[in-house]
Amino acid sequence: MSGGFTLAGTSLRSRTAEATTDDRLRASVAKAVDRFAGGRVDTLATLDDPDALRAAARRVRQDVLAELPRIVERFADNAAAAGVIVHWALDGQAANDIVTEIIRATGATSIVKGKSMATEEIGLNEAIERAGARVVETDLGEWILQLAGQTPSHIIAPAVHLDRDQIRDILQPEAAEGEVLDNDPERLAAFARRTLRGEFLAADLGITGCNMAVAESGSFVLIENEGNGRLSSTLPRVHVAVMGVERIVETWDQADLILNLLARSGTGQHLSTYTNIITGPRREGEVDGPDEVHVVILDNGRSELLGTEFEEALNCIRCGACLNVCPVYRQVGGHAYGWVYSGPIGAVLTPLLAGEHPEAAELPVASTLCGACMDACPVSIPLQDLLLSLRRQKAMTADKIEKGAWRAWSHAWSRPVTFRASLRAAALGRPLTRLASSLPGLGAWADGRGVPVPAARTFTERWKSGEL
Amino acid sequence: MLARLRSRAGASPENVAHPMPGPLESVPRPVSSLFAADDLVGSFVRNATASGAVVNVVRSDDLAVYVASLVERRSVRHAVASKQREAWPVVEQLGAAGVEIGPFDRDASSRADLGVSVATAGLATTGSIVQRSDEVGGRTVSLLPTAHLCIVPASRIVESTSDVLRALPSTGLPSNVVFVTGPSKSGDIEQIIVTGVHGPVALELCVVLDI
Repeated sequence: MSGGFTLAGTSLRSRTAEATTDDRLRASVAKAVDRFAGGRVDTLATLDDPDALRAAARRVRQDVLAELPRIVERFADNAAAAGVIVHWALDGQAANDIVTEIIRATGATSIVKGKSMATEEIGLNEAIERAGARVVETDLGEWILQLAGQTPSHIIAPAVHLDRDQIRDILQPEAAEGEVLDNDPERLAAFARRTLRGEFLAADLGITGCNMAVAESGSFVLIENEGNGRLSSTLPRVHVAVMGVERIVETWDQADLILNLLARSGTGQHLSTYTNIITGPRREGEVDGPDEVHVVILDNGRSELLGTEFEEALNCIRCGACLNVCPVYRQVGGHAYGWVYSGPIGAVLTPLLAGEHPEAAELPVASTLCGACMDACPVSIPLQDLLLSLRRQKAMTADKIEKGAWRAWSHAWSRPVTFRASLRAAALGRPLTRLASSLPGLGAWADGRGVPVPAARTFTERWKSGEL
Repeated sequence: MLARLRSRAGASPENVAHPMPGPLESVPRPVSSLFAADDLVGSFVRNATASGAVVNVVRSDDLAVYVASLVERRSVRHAVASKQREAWPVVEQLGAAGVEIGPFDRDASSRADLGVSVATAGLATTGSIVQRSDEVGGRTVSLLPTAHLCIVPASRIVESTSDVLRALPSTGLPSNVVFVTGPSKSGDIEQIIVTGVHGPVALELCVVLDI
């Protein structure tokens, strides 16, 4: 572990092999992504010219990134003026230290947490537990995963890989003695409501993420469906929000456009159940709300992407639309990507943000480059171009044997004489084909693929003999 | 950290395959076919119903009948209410129907079957209500009770999020503004939508035509 990152520590190959043989997982994932993707199409279709809105949203995000330092500073100043305590964290370790210090300083012992990918990214729960405090995830999916000791497999639907029987088994130990849970989703959710309500009422500190900060008023927006974000930011005396530095716009006009695309692209809702706009702690005379609000602004490698060809990866608004349309994600689910961010955006973000881990560099191959992700992306991130660029970067550092093989192939197939010679050689080598999977280097390539058998006579030979 | 951001920020290389769209004169305002300009209230009712809310449209004179039927339908015994003027007639009727009712705070709200609040605005396109925290309205009244009743003055229904968000002042915002669209829900178990996971199990909207 370094800088707060924990990767799976296994190869992409072994993770995908495991996922593709898990029928239960594949059925759960396929059902979920179809539902989300269908909802996205249906709700976007109610908007006038959604593609023009997506293009405008891309431009809005780009305009924000172009002036990110000024806009983030404006947000920090306005949030501070509204009474928010603003913290700056260069990396995950720094963010974890800040949060654990707030916990220590406020004397908090009971902590509730709303769903947040940024805190998953930096391993905040583990850091809090190391510091001796107790933290309870309250998003239903996140709670299930916390109890199971698992990580999210989808940006917006963390427990998408589990079915109701598995979830029942995970929740059963939380039930009172003698209470037997069944697998009915409604009753399981009611059990979660009952159990977690007590945690909310007892908590003295709540942690959430931040979907979007708005610089002009120093506000930040939390979007959710269950109420876990609303409760985590309302009931405890102290509220701490962890915000990726790029999760920001400058004006409410910009926020309005993004909000109108976010829920439609993510869950396929016109608007999520709760869109919370938070501007500082409870004011004089207000009945409820936290006395203390902190925002931790997290860099963790993001600023390294500014001004590079990968900058657009920072435009992501974390809706999950690219996961739902990706033919690779559909087959393997989120855990195969090995880190918190999965699907096409995960295959881009992981090598960029967690590049010090060698296994992160493998991820850009987990794509067919079909471009469905860009077509679904509400801010039109050209994900396939970014994936291709990452592959190019990786190819520059490929091993000598692989580079030599490609160079020889390129040389041979660029000239008619050697091209035909290579085909004849392949035809003669036919009997060896079945051995291909046992050849060094080729074994991994041939595993899971049918090795093509060359024709006995080449097309050119058959054409010349008048056979065709 | 700002220094690091400043040292990094700058023009990124042009993506030739998918060039960036040109500069915007203004940020476009999303317009939905779910909104009928000639039927503001009707659009709100349709879209709020689609989001899972139970919607009733009444006149002030009908409130007694409405409240009595709500109390029976939801078996309301304990209620809390926010302090806006528009809530007073409903509070009175709840009392008349035998419901124990008082002002909200965190503890009273967590014991209540029903929390009564008043919408700052209604959003017709999404069927959402807008609420703000201030001296008379708060957060827990619409969050902790089993069911949430929101009184929506028809005069406050606007087209969409754009009317509210684009009019927000840049200073002096309340500590909390929330758009609520339907009851609390989750699809975290096999994408089957269940209501009332943490927030209210039911959202009752009472659109009052003459206020």
